[in-house]
Amino acid sequence: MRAANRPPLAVLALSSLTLLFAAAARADDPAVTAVDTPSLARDGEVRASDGPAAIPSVAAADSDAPRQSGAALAEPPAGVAPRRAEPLPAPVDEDPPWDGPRVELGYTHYSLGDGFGGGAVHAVSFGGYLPTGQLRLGLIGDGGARDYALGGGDAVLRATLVAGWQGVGLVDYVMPYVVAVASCGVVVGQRFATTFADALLGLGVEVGFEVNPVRTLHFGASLAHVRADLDGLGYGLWVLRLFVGL
Amino acid sequence: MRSIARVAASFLFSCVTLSLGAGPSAGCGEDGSAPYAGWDTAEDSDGVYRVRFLAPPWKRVPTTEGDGRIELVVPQVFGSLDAGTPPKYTLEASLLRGLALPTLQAEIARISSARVLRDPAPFTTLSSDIGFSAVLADSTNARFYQLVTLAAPSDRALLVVVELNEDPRNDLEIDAMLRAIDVRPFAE
Repeated sequence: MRAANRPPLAVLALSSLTLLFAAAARADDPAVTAVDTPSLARDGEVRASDGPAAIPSVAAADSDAPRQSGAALAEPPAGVAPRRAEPLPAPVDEDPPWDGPRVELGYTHYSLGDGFGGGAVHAVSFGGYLPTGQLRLGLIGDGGARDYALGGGDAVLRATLVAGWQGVGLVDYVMPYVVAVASCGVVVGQRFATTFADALLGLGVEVGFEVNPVRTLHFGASLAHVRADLDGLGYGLWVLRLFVGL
Repeated sequence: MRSIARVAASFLFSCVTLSLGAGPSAGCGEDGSAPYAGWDTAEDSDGVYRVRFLAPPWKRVPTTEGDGRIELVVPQVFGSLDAGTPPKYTLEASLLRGLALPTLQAEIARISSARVLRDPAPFTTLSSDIGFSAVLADSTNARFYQLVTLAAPSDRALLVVVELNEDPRNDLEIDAMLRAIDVRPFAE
């Protein structure tokens, strides 16, 4: 009696196999897969931008199973709970702007007069500053050549520490700044066929601005007045710097 | 962060004060952009003439007191050691009886082994002293000579002889040094 109420073991096994095959067939069906893929389905539609690979393959469905209508494609097989397309994640913007140190490459010009009509310095500068908000802290190195009216030019190397204020967010795309500068360097050259190397020290103030058209790309200009000392001689330098940076 | 900002503000203020406080062209010491800034001046014992020179590399060589001579050299050095070889440059200035041109011609004749590269030509200093200049080359020791004579008070001539390794006709530094020689009455 009890055995008669139980379904036969063979029936159970057959039912299980049927369910397994149905699940396997659903997993292989590209139409079902497409609907489950968030990037393809928004309100049950397939976007043209997703390309032909994303369009449900009718041919593939024909080869694997009897022809089904469009409504049948949209509905899951019996016994499988219908899935809702998962909500799309919010569109992700571009990478957040770089908030690390900025670097700059520039051209520096000033005149370290030699007393005979020469002294113009043309230098290449490289440096950067830290992301410290309104406080501008940076280091700039420059190296170049100094014209000497009575002979071959001198080499000039300088390192400049800058500290001061910068107007972050003050004006769109443009950031003015005012900083104190302290520099040290060396001038190497020849006088009367004899090589010399003299220390160059300076202290001054620099005003400038940066134009920031896109992301961290910026370019700008600055003018500094530096009181410099070279081998006991004093100089009032006007230092012009043009730069581009990231 | 606030203390850093305070230090930066103090630094900025100090730099602005130091940079702009003493005028736009002045520096920490003598104005380096002025002509002959940093050059020394040597005056003869009688105070008749004076010579400007850049030290280093020029060095004044002691001479006998009262002989009216000034001698300067740029030694051949390796690091801080004098190589002992002939100096790169020597400059000797002395007062002689006579006029400028005959004194120069006599000096050319005295250096008999030298060939004249530039005949005596008029020469004027920055202080408007007038004289003559000639350039010689001595093949026996591969040295060049630039001779300058300037009219000096009391019927005398100042003879300046520069000896060097390169042709001085293209040496603007030597030219600048010779043109800075001043004979009494001195220019201010």
